[in-house]
Amino acid sequence: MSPRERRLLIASCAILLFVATPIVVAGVLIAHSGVLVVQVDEFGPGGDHVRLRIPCVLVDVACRLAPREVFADARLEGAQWIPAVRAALTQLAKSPDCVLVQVDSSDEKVRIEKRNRTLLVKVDSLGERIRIEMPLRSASMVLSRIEKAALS
Amino acid sequence: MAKFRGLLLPLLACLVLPVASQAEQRWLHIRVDESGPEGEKVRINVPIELAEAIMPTIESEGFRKGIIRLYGLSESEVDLPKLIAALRDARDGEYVRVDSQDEKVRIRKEDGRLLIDVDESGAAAEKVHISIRMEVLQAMLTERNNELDALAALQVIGEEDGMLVTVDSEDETVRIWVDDESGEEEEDNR
Repeated sequence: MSPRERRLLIASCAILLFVATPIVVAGVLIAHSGVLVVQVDEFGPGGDHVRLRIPCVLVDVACRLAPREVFADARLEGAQWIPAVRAALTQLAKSPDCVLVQVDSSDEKVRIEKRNRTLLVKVDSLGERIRIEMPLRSASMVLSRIEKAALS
Repeated sequence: MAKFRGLLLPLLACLVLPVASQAEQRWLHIRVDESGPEGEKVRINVPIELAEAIMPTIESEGFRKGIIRLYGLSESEVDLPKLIAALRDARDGEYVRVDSQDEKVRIRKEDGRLLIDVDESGAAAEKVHISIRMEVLQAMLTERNNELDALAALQVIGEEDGMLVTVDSEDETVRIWVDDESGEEEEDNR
């Protein structure tokens, strides 16, 4: 390999590294923090279809940037449930994967389970199909912000 | 070698401890199966620790910090500690037996458990069986006569495997029990 070719190769590698590093870091960050998924499909004509896939890194950022009033309002509305949700999230994080609730009836199937540090909610009814995947870490983050809003 | 051992031991501890803590997890299971092709099936599997953590945070009428308030009972009407102490110290045997046309009721003590059986007759007959360890009843006592400590009872219930409640009727079957299985295996087999 000539010195020119070697310099070209080194330069190409440097550029590739420069471009690839942020992508790899972002990928690792997203994979580590998880993805919040919300899917709602209403059946029938005119039914709504909602698809949300938000990396939890963005949820964390949004939590930090959102006005405090948003969380203060949530605190007021759900004040009595916040300690219970906090306790549940803390214990769920320690629990092994499991199906917490499963309801099967002729017109509706509901399943709430913990899988890979994520809370999964699945609802299949005659009128709609709902899928929610909520990483516990993100739920905890949002709750912390609500709790802090109450204190400040 | 000593350095290697120094690294190996914490590594092994990291691998083993999570498995050990999961193995110790106790679960409260509730199964409700309604009969008929359109009958509803409900499965609830809750780690006892999760229930214990949530219970003190729930506040509603008649329930606060894991304590149930018995509104219909004044403190002077029944001396619950004495009643439960008497039950605990009593010999095994049948204490209540009611035989009527509609139902048969048996309340007995057997091997440290209070067993309640209700056997209804008729079209919508229902069979109910409740099994409570005496330790659970003891744990439910509080300083006040008209209050029961559900949280303390849950902690004691979680210490031992066993069926707590069975209900069999034409309409549905109900099972409530405690063990160390998460219920995953059963769900996977469905």
